[in-house]
Amino acid sequence: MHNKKIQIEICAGTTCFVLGSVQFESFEESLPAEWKDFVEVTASRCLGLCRKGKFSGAPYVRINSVPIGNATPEKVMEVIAEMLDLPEGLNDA
Amino acid sequence: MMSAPIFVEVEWLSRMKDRQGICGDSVIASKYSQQQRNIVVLSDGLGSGVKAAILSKMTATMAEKFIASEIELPKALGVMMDALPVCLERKISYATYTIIDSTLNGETRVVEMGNPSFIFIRDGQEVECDTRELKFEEWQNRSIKISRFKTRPGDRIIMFSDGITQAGLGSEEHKLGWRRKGCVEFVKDQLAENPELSARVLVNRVIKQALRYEPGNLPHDDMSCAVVYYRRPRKLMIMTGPPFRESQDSYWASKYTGYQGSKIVCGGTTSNILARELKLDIKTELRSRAGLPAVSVMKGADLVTEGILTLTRVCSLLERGGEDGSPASEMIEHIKNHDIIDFCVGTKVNEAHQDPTLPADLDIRRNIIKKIAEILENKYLKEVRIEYI
Repeated sequence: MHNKKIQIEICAGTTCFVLGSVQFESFEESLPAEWKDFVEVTASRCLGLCRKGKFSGAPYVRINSVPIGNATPEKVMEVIAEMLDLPEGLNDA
Repeated sequence: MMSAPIFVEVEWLSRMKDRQGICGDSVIASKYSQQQRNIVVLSDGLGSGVKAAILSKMTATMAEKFIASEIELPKALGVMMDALPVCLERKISYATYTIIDSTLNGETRVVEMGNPSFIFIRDGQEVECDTRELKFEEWQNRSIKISRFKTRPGDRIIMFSDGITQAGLGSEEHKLGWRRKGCVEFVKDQLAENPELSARVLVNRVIKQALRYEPGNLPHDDMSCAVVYYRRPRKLMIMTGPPFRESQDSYWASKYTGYQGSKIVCGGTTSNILARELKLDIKTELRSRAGLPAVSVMKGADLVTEGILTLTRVCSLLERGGEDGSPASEMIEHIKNHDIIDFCVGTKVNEAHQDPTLPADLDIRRNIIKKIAEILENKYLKEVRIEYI
């Protein structure tokens, strides 16, 4: 049983928006019903990752504080699936 | 003791006659900052449509220029009447007008020819003004009324074309139309409910009410209303962009907390800096609105938006008018409700935005602010102050 939710932060900053963060708008609704209790999706005004330029490119999503570059809903789903398979993996994306 | 500064809010609205493609009334408003002077002209051209629009536009433009250049009034008004083209049907050259010329110290004169008399409201009541009449030898059928008075904070001047006072004229229900008297009562009622009603809301309500009098709510004549409201200024700060040096972040935060007025934070990094310095939470919506990133909520801010895309949209909406339900429209609503706009502009450039593969819309922040400021000063008569850091 997972005792802590996986935190998904979607960047709504300028660069991420221009490069496709809009595809995450209905991400929360598209999660499988059985995941919903274990995942929390929030938007961030800006994660500030594009400025650092070392995480492969916008749009960015952060999963439990770990940045994912060139993020797509599919890519983020895969990471969540892997984490949910690992009972202890919730804090180590 | 120094008195607090006065701001003159000027707003107007027109509705064109039903089945016409252009409004035959014209309103021109100018602000002369150095002289602390505002001139507003409302002109109603003879008839309707293109001809009326040309007559009224010519009249309003000439009137504004003559008044501003301090040419002797009778001479200026005579030249204007001589200059107007003559209507082939009616053999007269005709465009009625009302001119308000006022300075911030309160000296005000109103020049009227042919329009319904202006309304001067003080403390919620109509006040009679000293008015004299000017006659012209060459223009026997015309007379010009000149009123001089001193305004003080809280006063309002309302002027309109006869499309407003005659709304509903001849209808079963309102045989004599709304009339000036009905309009005065309506304005007084509105101000009794909210003594600080903005000029913008008041012109909208007057036009709406006039339309209610018209059969089918369709204007049977061009309708225009302009309101000049002398009030203590409402201030709005728009904070956008991170300071050039990180060491100035705390100064940025102190500006935010110390500002006496409404506040908009515009930009992801900007809001992050404030949140970090002031230990505030930011909550952001996930859904975009009308093609712009969603808004956020942060304590103390009236609005928090994304930066450069939103400002670019603000600029284009201000330029062409209209609204689109986006966060930019929301920002414009706030701007319109305020008189003094203080831009605090951080000049640090986000290098990621300069990537040539990104849309050209990601212009340098300073350029956009400069353009917005020009539009706000010239088209919306706002007082704009910009601080770059």
